[in-house]
Amino acid sequence: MQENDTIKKKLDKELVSLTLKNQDFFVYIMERYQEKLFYYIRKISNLDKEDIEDLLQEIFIKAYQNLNAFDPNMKFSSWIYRIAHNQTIDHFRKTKSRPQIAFLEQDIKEEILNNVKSDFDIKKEIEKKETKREVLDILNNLDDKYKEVLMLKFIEEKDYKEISDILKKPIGTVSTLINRAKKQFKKEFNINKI
Amino acid sequence: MKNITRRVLEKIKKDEIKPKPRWSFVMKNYSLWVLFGISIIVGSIAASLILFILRNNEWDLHPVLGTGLSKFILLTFPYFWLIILAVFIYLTYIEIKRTKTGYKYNPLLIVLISFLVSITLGSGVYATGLGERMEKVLNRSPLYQRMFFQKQRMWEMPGSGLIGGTITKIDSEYDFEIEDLKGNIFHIIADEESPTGNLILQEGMEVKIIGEKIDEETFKAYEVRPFFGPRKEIIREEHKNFIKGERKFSPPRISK
Repeated sequence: MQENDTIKKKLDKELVSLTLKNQDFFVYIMERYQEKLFYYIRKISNLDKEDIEDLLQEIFIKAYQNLNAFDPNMKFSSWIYRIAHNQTIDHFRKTKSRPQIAFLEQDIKEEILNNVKSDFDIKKEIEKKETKREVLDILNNLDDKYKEVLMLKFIEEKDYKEISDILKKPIGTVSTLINRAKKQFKKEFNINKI
Repeated sequence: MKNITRRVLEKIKKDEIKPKPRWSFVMKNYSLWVLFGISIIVGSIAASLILFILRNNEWDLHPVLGTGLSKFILLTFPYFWLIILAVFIYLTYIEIKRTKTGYKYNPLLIVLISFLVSITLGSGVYATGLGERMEKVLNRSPLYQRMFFQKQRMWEMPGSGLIGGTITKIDSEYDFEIEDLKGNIFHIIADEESPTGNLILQEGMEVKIIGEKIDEETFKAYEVRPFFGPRKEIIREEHKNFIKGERKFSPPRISK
């Protein structure tokens, strides 16, 4: 039991090295990420539980097969989120449909709402009357290309470098997307206010 | 959720799934860099050919052809090599993007750097004369000739004072025969009083001649240029006289 706890405290990188020697250690990686990835996939796909679980299984197998490609200079979480992102896109490509990126009410906690308000420079304006529901509606009305970046920033709480590594886009592009998303958000917000 | 972990581990064990070896990823990354290098080299060769073709384009002839400079550029621009250059610059972009860290770079910056590197290396290749040699070799291919049909056609207009072909017989430096690009035999005569130029004629040599058609078999030459490659400066000067209307001809010398 104590040994189990010691392993659970290990860094992702250490678990990767251990898994490469013994596949049983992969369980610890999966346990660490299955829930996070499950909700991430749900948010960027709107698939049902069974489909997400099937996708998650594919993601873990893909990650296991490609463990030697993991670059220890980047965060393991960015690496596995990237696999999840790509597999989800592939899933929709195969089914010739479009992913439904959606912010869900339960994801928008008070702290996240405050981050959105302060980051989007609308804190003062929003304090009095706008509700969480309205912010959520505006977020969900944004263009798809902005939604995933904002989701990674506010819900998954990733920094620009991590978002760049997950989406395989230059940091400058991530920054541009976020700035444009802010502009679109403020525009929608002002229209709604009127 | 526990199920997923169990299912994945069972599948890994049952199907004997193994992590791909590290060397396969290293090799993939290296091969992308090798492909990038090859694309840069091909792009540079294309750039050197563009430079060569533009440098040796008969810019001075557009008044003789009766076309404006812009139409002349449109007719003679090396589009084929420009497309090849663009394709290989695009390939360098794809290859860089697919490397392990390629996504971190701005796509525009990759394209710009690839373009500048291709042009710089291309200028080096051009300076070595490789562009000229390649153009000569390629020009012997019927496919390549068809691609540059418009440019070739320029030298199939004896009525307009332009004729190109291969020297079949040399009687004197003022009197020789060519088989033109359409297969007709023309007797070329030159003005004996003109000073001697520095082009050494040989049977089998491909030449371009500027002058005037006397009849169906005779063509009076004011200037003879090698079909491929740069002209000598002395010939350029004489041609300037021709363009100005002085019509002095430097007869080429015959190889002894």
